[in-house]
Amino acid sequence: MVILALCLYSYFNGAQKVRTFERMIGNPQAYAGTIFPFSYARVIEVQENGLFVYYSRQQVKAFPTPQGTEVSCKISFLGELQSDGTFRIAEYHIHRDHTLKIFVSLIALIFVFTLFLRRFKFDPHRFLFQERPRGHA
Amino acid sequence: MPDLLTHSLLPYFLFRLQKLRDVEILLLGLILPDILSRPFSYILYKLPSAAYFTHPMHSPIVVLLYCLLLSFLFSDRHRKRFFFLLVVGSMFHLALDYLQINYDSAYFPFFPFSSWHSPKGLFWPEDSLALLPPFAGIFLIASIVRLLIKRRGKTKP
Repeated sequence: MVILALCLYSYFNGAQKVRTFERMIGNPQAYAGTIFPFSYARVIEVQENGLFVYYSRQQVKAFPTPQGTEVSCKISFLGELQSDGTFRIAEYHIHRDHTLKIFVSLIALIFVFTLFLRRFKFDPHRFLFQERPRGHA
Repeated sequence: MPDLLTHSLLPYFLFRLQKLRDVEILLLGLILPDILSRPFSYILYKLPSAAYFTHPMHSPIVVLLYCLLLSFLFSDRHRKRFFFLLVVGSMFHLALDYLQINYDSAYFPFFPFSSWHSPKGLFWPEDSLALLPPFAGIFLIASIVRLLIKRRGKTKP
């Protein structure tokens, strides 16, 4: 309940101050020149003079095309909003090993849970993790 | 976030050198902020405001709260120690996360009191992958040396 209350506080308090992506893209003339940070936007189309990314349920055009960009890769960039609703890329980073990172994280996850479950088992009656008897671990 | 193996390997190795007991709990703490927030990030990805619910999971006060909640899933005998280990592990995780570069303000160290976010970091989330082979190599060599020392100790009359 406390965590939920903190999240709600953040939601209502933060939402008032932040220039959200939806507000900016809905009225580009009013927000032209604003820098917006894109994190892990998925590239859906690469053209010579720009690229299309999918971000926050919107398809957005950004330009110029960063070197080494491929379709379906993830990219983070700082985009300056233009009055026509496109973004001029000021700074970017292509997340080349994003999938590998997730895969490696899954290995760690399996390792930790295996280690944990070798030592503990969940007792639903007492709603507690109980130590397994030694020798059976 | 750097990958979870990087999050867990180096601190695990350091604590192992100290012959720490209950290393499973420490490891759980080391990955806890991600296992509590990432599934929701992926499930709620299409909901733009989901970030307001998932980002606070990487704030120290919220970490303290969910470590406290989690510690109640263990018997009274272990509760204090496990709470401490979960907090230590989670704080290590946050420290590493706060050091990474983020264009977006994904981490709020002073949530809920301030929406100030950590300044531009030192490395990109995927950069940790480059460090994994040397880490894994050191870990493997150390494990083999430890095993050999143990065996030699057993065979001595």
